[in-house]
Amino acid sequence: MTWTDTALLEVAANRARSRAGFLGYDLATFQELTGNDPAQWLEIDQTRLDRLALCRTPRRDARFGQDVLAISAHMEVAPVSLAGLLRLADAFAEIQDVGRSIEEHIDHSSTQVLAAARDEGEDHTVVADVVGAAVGLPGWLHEAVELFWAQVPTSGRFPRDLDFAVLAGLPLAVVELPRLSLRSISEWLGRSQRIDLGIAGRRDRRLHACLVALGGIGLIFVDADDDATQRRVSLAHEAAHFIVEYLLPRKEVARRRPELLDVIDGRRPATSRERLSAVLGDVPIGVHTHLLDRTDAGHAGTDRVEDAEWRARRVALELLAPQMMLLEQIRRSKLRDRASVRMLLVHEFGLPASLADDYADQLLRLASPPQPGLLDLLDRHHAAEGREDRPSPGSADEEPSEPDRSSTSEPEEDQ
Amino acid sequence: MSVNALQRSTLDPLGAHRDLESESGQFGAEDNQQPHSLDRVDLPASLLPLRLVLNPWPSISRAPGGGERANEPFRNPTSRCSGERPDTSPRATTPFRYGAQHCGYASAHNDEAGRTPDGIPEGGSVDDAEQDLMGIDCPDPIRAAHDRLVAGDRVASEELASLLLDPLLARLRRRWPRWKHTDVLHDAAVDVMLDYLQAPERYDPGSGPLLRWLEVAAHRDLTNTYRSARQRQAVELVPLSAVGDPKRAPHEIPNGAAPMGQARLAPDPANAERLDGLGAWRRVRQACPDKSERELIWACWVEGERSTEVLANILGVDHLPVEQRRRRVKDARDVARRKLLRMGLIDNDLD
Repeated sequence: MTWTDTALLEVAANRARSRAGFLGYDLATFQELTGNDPAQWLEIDQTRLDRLALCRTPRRDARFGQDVLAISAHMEVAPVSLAGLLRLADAFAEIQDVGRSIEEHIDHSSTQVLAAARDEGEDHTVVADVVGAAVGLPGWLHEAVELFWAQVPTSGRFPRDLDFAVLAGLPLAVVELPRLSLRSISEWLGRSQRIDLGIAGRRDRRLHACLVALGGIGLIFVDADDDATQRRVSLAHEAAHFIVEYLLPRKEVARRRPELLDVIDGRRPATSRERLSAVLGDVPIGVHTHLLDRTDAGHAGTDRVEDAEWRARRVALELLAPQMMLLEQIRRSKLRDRASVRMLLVHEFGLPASLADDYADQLLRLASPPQPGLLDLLDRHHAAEGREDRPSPGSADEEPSEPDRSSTSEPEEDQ
Repeated sequence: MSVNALQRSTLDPLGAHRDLESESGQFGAEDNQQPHSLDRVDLPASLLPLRLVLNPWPSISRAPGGGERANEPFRNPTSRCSGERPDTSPRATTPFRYGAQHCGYASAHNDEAGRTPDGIPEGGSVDDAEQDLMGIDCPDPIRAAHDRLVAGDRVASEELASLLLDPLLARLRRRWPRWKHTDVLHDAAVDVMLDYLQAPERYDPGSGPLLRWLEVAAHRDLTNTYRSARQRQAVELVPLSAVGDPKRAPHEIPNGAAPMGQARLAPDPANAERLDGLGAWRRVRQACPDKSERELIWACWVEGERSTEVLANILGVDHLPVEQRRRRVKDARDVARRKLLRMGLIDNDLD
């Protein structure tokens, strides 16, 4: 039901490109800052692009995802492409803005940037707290996962494709670069964004993915040569970094010292008084940290980096293959051997084999009945003594023994 | 907006209003044949009595601060409409209906299918077309889309633009025929539409159809554009004179006129330029060959002079007895008033 000819719509679309609030404004920003043609990016012709420009821009809050889906359905464009375009436009604009502030106020911009990477061959060690995990997820992990799925519906299909969830649920943009490495990222940032990643003098190395966050937004670089499986893990891993190392500390600062957000985002340097009060008040003013350090052997350079990488892997696994869901499936299917669980992780949940091996081992340990502890042994001992003193079975006052009941019910509760 | 197109189209800007004049029903056939160079202008307070009647949206154009607004070619309706609502009352819309049905425009611009550019059947009215537009798929798709837009729907804006831009442009073309081949009407339609889409809550569905509301806003923008263009053009013109004598500089005292104070004898040249630019004074000269009569008009309707003594001085009858003097002044004023009324330069309810 269109009455307006395309020429007039084109005039309107061109005018909308200079008005914030219309999608056309975002399209123009995207084209100006990235040099990409939005029509090519979205794979639509010029007429549909003009109509798209006349839509209102998605709201940048919890409704972003649903707005993108509504526009995509109406204009018949891929939601991931549209969300990616919008996030890129926002990220580029924000980074340039922050970049200008950094140039004005701060000598070393790298100190204000969170940078973390997923190196090749780092898919190990996921579930360390076996006992704690058996009764539920740790609080920090639960909070991170909740935050990820807060603005997009949790996907019940596996393997989970996190592209749209990452773009719609978090202020993250995704940039694909071929043969991703520290150097290629640093050059890209320096060339297009005038951001110094601060890796001069470091050894270059290949990466699966890398996160650069500043000013409240983040850029996830992924290796364009990676397959879908690796890309899936990369997105989850870097999104996890963004949540755990950036959003949650930032949220804490916003709650306790909102005036320090500008400092954290690199828009202005902290005053000496603010630094002192932040230290005394235990406000994480220094959330922006380099997490890129690795030893020559490829291990984390510091405990801080090791800890951050472990948390990111843990959250990523929880996003891609939720532990409690897996344990339930393992018990229900009575999977007992590592190969079966590994196959489940690879084929059903889409994890890479290297990551599935490690995770399968730990899931089997969690799924097996817990080893009896000292108290369990004492209970059994007392139970055995009690049976010797009791009357023979079948008497009227017979009651089930306490230890026996607990020994059968406790593992069930754990599960 | 194409400035060149605007300038070209304003070389004979009054043709743009010919339809409006005929729509207003205040001009005869003879008037329609003559180019009029008058539209509502935001005159200084002293010039306000010289009220023009061509604008069918008096409650809009008479808003306070109109003088400043006239300098802005395309004012944003978003800010413009804060605190002021376009007049969609029957009085305001009636002239337009007249125009569609009685000025012969529709038949002159019909397509082969016998429909006007915005789909109005020949002999039909704009309201009929609006009803057609609203009855395409559901009882009121425009209203439904508006409601969704207000509720935050992100695609309703595109739907509304697709539905309304063409009909809106067609209406503007009918109102502003001299500009129908320029970018000006496109710009006005698009700007008004985008302003509405950015702040849809400004439109009250109870005030009338959305298309008409947009038309009113676009018409107002075009009126402002027109005024600005005229003012720019007027500045470039050499003023003919303060009171119509091309040989006399504006500050010189007219021949035969007695000194009556610098303010009266040397009126603001800018005002004179504006009048000359609008062609109003040229028409006054044609209608009033007698110079003293023109001076009387200037004093009474431009400067607001009401003193019988002063007016008698202008007419050269100040030597007569008081009663005769008063009668001569009154008669001269009545004659001049009737002429101005016939020219459409003043309203009945004024003076």
